[in-house]
Amino acid sequence: MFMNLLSQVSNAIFPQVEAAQKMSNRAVAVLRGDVVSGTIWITQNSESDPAVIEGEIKGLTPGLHGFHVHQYGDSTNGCLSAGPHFNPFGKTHGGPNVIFVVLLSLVKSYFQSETRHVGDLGNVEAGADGVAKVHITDKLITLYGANTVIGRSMVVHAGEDDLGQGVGDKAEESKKTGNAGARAACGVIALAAPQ
Amino acid sequence: MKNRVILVLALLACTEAASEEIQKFKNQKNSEFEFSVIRARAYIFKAVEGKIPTELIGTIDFDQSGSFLKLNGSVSGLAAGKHGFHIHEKGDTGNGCLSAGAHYNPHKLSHGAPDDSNRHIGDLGNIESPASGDTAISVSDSLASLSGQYSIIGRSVVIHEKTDDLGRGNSDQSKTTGNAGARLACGTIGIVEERLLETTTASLPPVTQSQPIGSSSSIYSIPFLLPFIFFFH
Repeated sequence: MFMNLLSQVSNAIFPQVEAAQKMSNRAVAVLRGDVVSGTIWITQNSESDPAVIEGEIKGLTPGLHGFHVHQYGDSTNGCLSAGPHFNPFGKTHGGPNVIFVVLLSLVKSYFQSETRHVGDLGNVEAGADGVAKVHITDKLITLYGANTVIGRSMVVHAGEDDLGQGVGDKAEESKKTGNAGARAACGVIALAAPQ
Repeated sequence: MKNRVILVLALLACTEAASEEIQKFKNQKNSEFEFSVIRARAYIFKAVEGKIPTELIGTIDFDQSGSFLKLNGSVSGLAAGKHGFHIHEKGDTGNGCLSAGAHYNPHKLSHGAPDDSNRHIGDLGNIESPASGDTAISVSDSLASLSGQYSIIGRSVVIHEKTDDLGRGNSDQSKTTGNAGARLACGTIGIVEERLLETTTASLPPVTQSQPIGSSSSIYSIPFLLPFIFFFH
């Protein structure tokens, strides 16, 4: 009942969701970097289902690498042009929408019990061969509606994402980027044929 | 007072009727403020049969101004002559650009010229390459758009081997593909810049669900009355 309510409130805020339901349930990002490359598929059967993110990235150093959706699908100046982590709920708008957005984020934070950017997918782990097999199920990444990740970028970083837990002089940046370092490869999230 | 407002809102959302009121309210408000993509870019890769492309041969920039979309860019290594130039439904550039699917055509119309009314959204006609192959692209369109329900974001640009006959050919294919032949190159359209736009209800595409006439005057009734009911209770 409560999930139903949540989806009603969310539909009220983003009326384009219904129309967008007709879109494909699948997207693909081809990651390109100097040495790192890979292909990532996102599958989400409906707006209320979690998204499944899977694929393979090669050419990484062994260990953990930050893995995020960034705001722009642009690589004019390499992966830096992808902008910051995709963070639609962090934006504050004026006007009457604000109270509804606040209500929605309260409900959402109750269910998620965590603070994060929509684009924060944590880390992927590369083995000794430099290959990371990705398989992530996520509730915030969506292919539908106003906050779709379509047309934005998937980025894999050179270093490990500290998941916002950085301390000392790492604390401030930890809340923004997770101190994941340089961007090893990136690719635009493209609509793909439905599965 | 803040707590009371949240309580009232929560109660509102618990009833079907109230959530309908919110729906109408939101539809109205969202038509005044909309987050829209105003610039986009596609990196054009040379098609590789059966594979994901790797060789970058050009870029195309998209600039949206109202309903007017301007494409500017350059692509190298094309054969001299005209090449069909379209937005395809998918942004997937795999399998020699075949994964991009058909021309973007959500309204199920026939293939046509850019200035036809019966055309696919993705029908942008032809580009022309000089003998050198270094092709400047400058195309304008008022049907394809970077925002809204039929946005081309996340889809792809495809450059074809042959001339698009603009739906004027003799074969059946003319009305679907324009007989533009194989796919030489393609690229996904990615977001470069977004802006919070102030728009008017009139410029939005028609709302699919029907709304009773005269309902707009009742939009504020329940949200505005409830606090008073609570206050005087």
